[in-house]
Amino acid sequence: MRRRAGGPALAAVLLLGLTSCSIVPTSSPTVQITQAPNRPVQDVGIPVLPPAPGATPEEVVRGFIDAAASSVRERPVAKEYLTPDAADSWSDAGGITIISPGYATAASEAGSVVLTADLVGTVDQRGIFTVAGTEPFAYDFPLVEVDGEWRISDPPEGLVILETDFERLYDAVDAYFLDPTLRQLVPDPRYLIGGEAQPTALVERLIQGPSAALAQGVVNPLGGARLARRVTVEDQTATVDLDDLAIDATTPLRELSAQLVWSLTRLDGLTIRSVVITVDGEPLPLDDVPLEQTADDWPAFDPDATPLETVGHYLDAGVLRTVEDGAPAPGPAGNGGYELSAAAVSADARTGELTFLAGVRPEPGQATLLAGPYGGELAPVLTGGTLTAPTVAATRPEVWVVRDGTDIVRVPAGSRPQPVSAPTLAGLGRAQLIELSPDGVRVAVVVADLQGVPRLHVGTVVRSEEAGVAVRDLPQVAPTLAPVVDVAWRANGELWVLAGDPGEEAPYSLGVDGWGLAQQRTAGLPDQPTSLGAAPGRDPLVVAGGRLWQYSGGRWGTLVPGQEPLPGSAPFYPL
Amino acid sequence: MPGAPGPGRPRTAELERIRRGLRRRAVVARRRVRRVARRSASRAVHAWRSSLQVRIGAITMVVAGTVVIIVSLVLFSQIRDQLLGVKRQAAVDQAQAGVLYAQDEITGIATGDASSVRATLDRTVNALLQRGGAAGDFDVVMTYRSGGREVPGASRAFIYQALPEDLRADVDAGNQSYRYDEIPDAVGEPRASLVVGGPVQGDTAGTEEIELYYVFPLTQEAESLSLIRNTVVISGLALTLFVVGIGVLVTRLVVDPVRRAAGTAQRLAEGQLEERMTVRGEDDLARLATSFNAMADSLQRQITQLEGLSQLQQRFTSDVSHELRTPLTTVQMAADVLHEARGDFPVHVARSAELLKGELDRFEGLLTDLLEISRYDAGAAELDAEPTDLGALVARVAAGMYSLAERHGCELGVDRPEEDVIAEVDARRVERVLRNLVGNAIEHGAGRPVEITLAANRSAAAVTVRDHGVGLSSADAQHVFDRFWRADPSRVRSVGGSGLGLSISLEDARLHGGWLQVWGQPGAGAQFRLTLPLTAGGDLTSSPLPLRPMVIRRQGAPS
Repeated sequence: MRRRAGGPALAAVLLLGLTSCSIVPTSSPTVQITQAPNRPVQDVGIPVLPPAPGATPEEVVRGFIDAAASSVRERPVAKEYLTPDAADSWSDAGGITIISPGYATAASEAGSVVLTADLVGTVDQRGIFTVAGTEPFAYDFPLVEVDGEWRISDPPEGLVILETDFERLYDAVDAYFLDPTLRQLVPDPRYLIGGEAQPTALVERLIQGPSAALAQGVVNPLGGARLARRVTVEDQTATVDLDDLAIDATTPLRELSAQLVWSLTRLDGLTIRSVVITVDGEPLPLDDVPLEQTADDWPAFDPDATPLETVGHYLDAGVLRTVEDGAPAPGPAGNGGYELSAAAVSADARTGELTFLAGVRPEPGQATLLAGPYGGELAPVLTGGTLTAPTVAATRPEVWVVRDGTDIVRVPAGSRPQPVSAPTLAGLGRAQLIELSPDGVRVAVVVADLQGVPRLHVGTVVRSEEAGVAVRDLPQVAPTLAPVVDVAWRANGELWVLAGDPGEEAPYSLGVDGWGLAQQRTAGLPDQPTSLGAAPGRDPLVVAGGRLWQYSGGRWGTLVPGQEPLPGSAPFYPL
Repeated sequence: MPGAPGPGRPRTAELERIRRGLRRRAVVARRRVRRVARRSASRAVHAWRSSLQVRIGAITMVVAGTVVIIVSLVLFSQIRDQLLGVKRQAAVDQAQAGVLYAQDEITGIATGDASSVRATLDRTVNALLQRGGAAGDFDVVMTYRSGGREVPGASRAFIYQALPEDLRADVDAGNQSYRYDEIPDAVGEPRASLVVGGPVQGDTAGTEEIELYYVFPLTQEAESLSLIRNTVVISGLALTLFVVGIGVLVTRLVVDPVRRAAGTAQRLAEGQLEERMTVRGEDDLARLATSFNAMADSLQRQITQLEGLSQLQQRFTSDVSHELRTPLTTVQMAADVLHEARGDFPVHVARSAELLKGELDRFEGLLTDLLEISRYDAGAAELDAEPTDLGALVARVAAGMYSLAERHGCELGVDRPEEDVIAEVDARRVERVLRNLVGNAIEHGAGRPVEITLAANRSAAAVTVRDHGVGLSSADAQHVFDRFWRADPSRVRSVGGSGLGLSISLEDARLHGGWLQVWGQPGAGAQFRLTLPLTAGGDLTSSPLPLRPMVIRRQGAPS
C-alpha cells in the first residue's frame, strides 16, 4: 500500500516542479495572425521601360539612364538593368548626377560601355545642387552576361539622370532660413522629388539646417526641433507636428512660423494655402496669429517684398535720376554736383523711405566713395585706386564696395568704413563687380580670373561679433558663362547676368546655386545690353545703346511707355 | 599505470589515488545511505502496522495531497493561460494599430532619399512608443529593407539583433505573426518576451520591404504568475496539512476510547476483575463500554463462583484425604500384624490377610496420589530445581524398574547421549514421572521391549518411553491425562493403577515449564515424551526428540 501510494505522489511533485520552472514561455513556435492582403499595383505616373530581351550593352546603359526617371521608391525598374549582386548593393539614395541629354555611349570589346556627357551638376543627399565645372562626365559601365542578357555589374554611386528627366521629376524648392537680423527670409534652393512626401522632405531639410555654404550666414529657428509625424496635407492645409522644441521667451516662434509657412506655401506640386503648426500636440502660443496660418499672416517676411517707395534710379552724366519719368533725384546728387559714375541707395526697412545714398566719383588715378543722406550732402568716406559700383542690401543701411579689386569695404550709414575679410578673393583675381543680395546674406562678385576672363562668384556673408564681417568662400556658380559683364539680384534666389563676348552680350537668369541657367529674351533691345539693374518684384533695367530699357510683359520697352528711351547708365533699385 | 613520462607521472598517480579514495568514500556513503534508508523504512513499516493514527494520517495525506495537487495544477494553468492570452490579445491589437499608423507614415518617405528613410523610421518608432496600450511596457523596431541592405530603427539597443529569425522569415513572407522568445533588456540580460511583427505595406507594391516589430516583455506576467504559483503551492500545502490534521484529530476521538478499552481489557485479563470502563455519553463508544462492563461483571461473577467451587473441591479432597489417613494408618498397622502372622492362619485366612494388605497398600497409594493432586490444585506444589545429571537419573529409574520389567518379560532399553545432560530440574519429581511412564509402558507393553531415549538440544532435554503394546487410539490419547481415566478399566495393574499417575506426571511436567505428550497407534504401541527446559523457568519452543516415532514396528514383526 505504501509503495503504491508513493509512486503517484512522486510523479505529481515532479509535474509541479516542471511547471513551476516555466511560468512564462521563453520560446515558442511562430504563430501567424493574419494572411498578407494583396496590394494593388502602383499607378506609376511616368512608366519607365525594363530592359528589352536581347538588348545590346549600349541599349542597356541607355535604358538604365532612362530608368532613373521614375518616382517609384528604390527604382525597381532601374535595378532590372543590373546584375543581381549589383541590384542588391546599389542604392539610388546616393547623390544625383545630372547629365545633359546629348550624351554619347561607346561600347568597347570587353562588354563595357563608356558614357561621356556634359555634366550639368550634382545634387547631394541633402538636395543641394552644385554646378559642375567644364569637365565632362565620363563613366565606364562594365557589363556581364546574366542568363544570356547583358547587365551592368558596377553602376556608379547614386543616380545618373538626364537634365530633362530631372526637371520633370524634381522640383526646385526654396528652403527659407532667416538672416541674422531675423527680418528677412533667405532662400536655400533644394531639389526634392515630387509627390506626397515632398512637404515632409522639405520640413526635414529645414530641420536639418542650411547648406554648408550658407550655414554661417543664416539663423535656423527650426534647428534642434524634430518632426513627430509626417506632414499631412488635407484640403490645402498642411499640418506640421513638431517635437523637441523648447518654447521659452527667447524662442523665435514668429520667425519659425513664417519660415514654415513661406516654405510650404511656395511648393509647386501640392497647393498648400495654409499651415497648421503644433508643438507636442499643442498649437503655438502666438496670440495674434490664427491656428491655420497663411502667407498673408506674415507679409513682412515676404521674400519678394521690396520697400514700396522703391523706384529705379540711374545716373545720367553724373546726375542721379529716377526711372519714373527721368526726373532728377532730390538733393545735390540730382544736380550733378558730385559727378557720380555709380551709386546705391538704401531704404529704411520699416517705412520704405530712402535714407542713405552712396556714390562713386571717378577721379584721375583714383576713385572716391561719397556717402550721405538721400537728398542731402554727400561726403567722401573712402578713396582707392579703383572702386567698384557700390551695393546695398535691404536689411541694413550699409554700402559695400571693392577697393582696388581685392579689398571689400563696407560703409555703414553714418559710420566709418570697415573691412570685410575675403581671404579667397585675392586668389581668384581682380573683382570687377560686387552685388549684395537683397537679404544681405549673399554677395555676388564678378572676378576676372587669372586669364582675365570675368566670371561670376557667389559667396555667403558671415557676420560675427568677434571676427566682424567676412566672406569666406566664393565658389563659381556659372562656369559656362563667361565673360560676365554685369550682375544683378532679380530675387533673393535668382541672379540676372549679362554675359557674352563683346557684341554678343545677352541677359541670363540663373539660380543662386547655378541651376537653371537660361538666356532671357532680348526682344525689343536695339543693341547689346551693357548694364543691368534689378530688384525683387520690380522689372529689370538694362542699358542698351546708351539708353535705358525696362523689361515688362516679356519684352523690353522704354521706361515711359510710348516715349523715347531715356539715356542713362548704371541703373539700380534702392533696397 | 601508463602516464606521461617525467613530471606527468607523479601527477597521474596522485590523480589515481585521489580517484580511488573518492570511489571508496562513495561506496561507503552509498552503503550508509542504504542502511539508513532500510532502517527508516522498517521503522515506518512498524509505525504503519502499529498505529491506526499513522495509517489514517498517511492515507489522508496521500489522497488529499493528490487531489490538491491536481486542482492546483489545473487552476494554475488556467490562470496562466488566461493571463497570457489577455496579454497576447492586447499586444496583437496594439501591433495591428501600430502597423496601420506606420502605413500612413511611410508615405512620407521620399524616393531616393536615405535621410528621409531614417528620419521616417525614427519618427514612427518614437510616435509608436508614445502610444501605449493595454499590453503594458513595450519596445518598437521598424526596419526598411531594399535589396540586400537593411536600415533598422529601434527604440533601444540590443533589440534589433535579438529578433528571432523564424519570426522575421514569417513576416518577410507577408504575414503578421507573434512568438515568445528571450529578448535582452536595457542592460543586455535576456528576459522572456512576446514579439509581434507584421509587414507595413503602403498603398502600392514597391520593392522596399518595411516591417514593424513590437517586443512586449513578460516581466509583469512572470511576477504575477510567480506570486500566484507561490500562493497556490503554499495554500495547497497548508490545505493538505490541515486535512491531515483534521483526520488525525478525528481518529484520535475514536482511537483513544479504543485504547482505553484495550488497557482495561488487559488489566482485566491480568486478573484485576474489578476493572470497568467509564461510560460517557450515549454513542457507540458508550454502548461498547456498557457491554464491556456487563461482560466483565459476568466474568467476574463466574470466575469467583468457579474459584469458590474449586476451592471447595480442593479443600474437600485434602480434608477427606487427611481424615482418611489416620484410620487408614491404624488399619494398615493391624493388617501388617495380620500379614506378619499369616503363617499361623489357615490358608484361606492367610490369603485374606494378603489380600487385605495388598488392597490397603493400594488404598494408601491412592490417598497419597489424591493428596499430591490436591496440593497441585491448591497451588501449593513447590519446585525444588537443582542441576541434575539426567542421564544418571534415567539410568537410576531404569535400574529401579528392572525387576518389574523382568516379571512382565519386557526388555528395557536405555538410549542416552554420550555427554552429560545437565538440567535444572526437581530430581524427585522427574524420577516419579519417569517411573510412572516406564511403569505404564511395561504394564501395557505386552511383553515387547520398552525403549527409553534421552536427548537434549541447546534449550531443552527430552525423554521418550516407547512401548509396542496395545497402543492407544488418538481419541484415547486426548483423555489419557484426565484424572481417574482408564483406557481399559478391566486391566489389572501391578503398579500404579490409581488413575492419577499421568495427571500427577502432567502436573509435574507443567511445574517445570515443560511438556508431557503422548502418541499412540492401536496395535503399534505408544510413546510418551517428557520435554523439560534445561534452565529453570526457561521457555520451551521445541523438543529434541520427535513425538511420533520414526520407525513403527507392526505387531508381530520381528524386533
